[in-house]
Amino acid sequence: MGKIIISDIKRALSSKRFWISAGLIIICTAINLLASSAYDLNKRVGWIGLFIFGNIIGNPMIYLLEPFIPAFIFAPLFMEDIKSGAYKDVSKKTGLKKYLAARSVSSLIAGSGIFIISLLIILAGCFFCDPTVQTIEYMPIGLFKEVYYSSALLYIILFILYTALCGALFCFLSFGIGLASNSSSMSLVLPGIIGSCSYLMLNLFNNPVLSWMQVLLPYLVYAFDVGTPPLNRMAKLCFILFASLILVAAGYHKLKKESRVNTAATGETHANKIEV
Amino acid sequence: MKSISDNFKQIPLWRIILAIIFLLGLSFNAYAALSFEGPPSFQEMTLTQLIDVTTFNLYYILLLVIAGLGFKNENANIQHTNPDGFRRNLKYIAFICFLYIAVLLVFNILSMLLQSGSVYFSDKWCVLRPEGFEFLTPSQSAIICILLLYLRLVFLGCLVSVINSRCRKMPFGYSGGFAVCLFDGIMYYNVFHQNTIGVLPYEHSYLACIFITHLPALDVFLSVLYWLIMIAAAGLLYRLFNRQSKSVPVKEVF
Repeated sequence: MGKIIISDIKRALSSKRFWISAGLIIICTAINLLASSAYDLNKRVGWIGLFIFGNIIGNPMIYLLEPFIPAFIFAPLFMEDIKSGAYKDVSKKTGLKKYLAARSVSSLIAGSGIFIISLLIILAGCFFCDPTVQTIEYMPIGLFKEVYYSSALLYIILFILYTALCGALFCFLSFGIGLASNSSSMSLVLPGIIGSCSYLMLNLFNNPVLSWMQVLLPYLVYAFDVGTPPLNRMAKLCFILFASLILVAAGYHKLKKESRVNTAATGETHANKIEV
Repeated sequence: MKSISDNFKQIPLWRIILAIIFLLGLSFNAYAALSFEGPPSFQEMTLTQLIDVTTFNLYYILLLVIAGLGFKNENANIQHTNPDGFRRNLKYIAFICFLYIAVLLVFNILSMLLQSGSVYFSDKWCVLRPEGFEFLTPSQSAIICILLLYLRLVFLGCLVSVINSRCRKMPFGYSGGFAVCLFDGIMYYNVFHQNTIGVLPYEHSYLACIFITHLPALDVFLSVLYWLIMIAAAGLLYRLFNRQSKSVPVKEVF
């Protein structure tokens, strides 16, 4: 199991997609920093300020991109194996259940890893650009806003961890969708579509019967500095996790059924050969 | 036509249902956004879905669910080794985009019926405040917007198809259209500070951008021409890539 996870992580890290995604995140941050009305080029804001204005304060490009990135990195890794049937050899040794568990864990690690690595690169870049600590005009309204006033660095670390958690869950969702639908395209785009377009259903669910479902829609779950109550965020994240688990379970049954049919087919041909 | 309907039949039912839910949501949202100031007309409701910057890119994203657009290499690579593949893909994309917009319009009527009990058509501005195109009627504006959206979607679909022709293992083509959606608006707003340079896809998608020079007939004609040139360019790229791929083994993009 450990070997599968390590090999997946190695494959993810050595893929071009990983570094293209990291580059995209960095470019989006740079554009957001330059476009941010709170950031003034003539004023020194310190490395903490640079990071906050570039990432934590509303970054519309990243909001659109973030749900798609984890799937872009991880979906090709497992979909190739599933489509080519390469998973069969490994799952024969470990068992299908353990194999899928290992790949689920690696999806979580890969999904969180991309954000941790790229945000740490950005943090280092900010420190390199302006190593001073300055007071900035920023009033957090989102998660852990109290932490910001006691320690800005801890606030940034919490932001990175939260983004990584979201990335991990969206990557797991992509894994589940790929397994259940056996479609590479859907495993690549559907998590992102659910992440960016689910707000369209807000008005559809605006009735007494379905209104409870509005809380579960994972729209803007990535946005750290948005005043969504923590409990609502928890509900959204749990919804993604449970949906992914259900999809993985459905995929497991599908693969098991397939392997049974294949075994029966090979058994029949073997019996035919003996008869001949 | 038969191949188009065959391709369409291959789309799984769950994907169509998902797309219907999203599109219905889009119509419900548009009505809810406008109904605060009074009952909107059908034309205004349609228009509000086409001039809102945040929802505009969603059309492309949603198109990916409906069509599995350009994702045909998931099942077979034949589409990309065939020089006529682009023409076939273009027909499929044009058909899907037409169907997509038609369904959206039907859902607009449906959501009006469900939320207010009646459908209201009017060629006067009632609720919406047009900025930059006041001299057009809501119907004219809606027709122009629909035409531009249609051409934009067809172009993005072609782009998906072109990139997919370079990716044999996984359908990464969606990322091309996505990059256009992500960067053209941002370039317009942040890099060029809303000064039109005339070549960004964004400038040929929105009424407010197009009519900045107040030469409506010419500008719409130029925008249509722009999209046709872009589609033709995508076709040329497709041909170029596939001609190369015959002699040189295809190198994976990602």
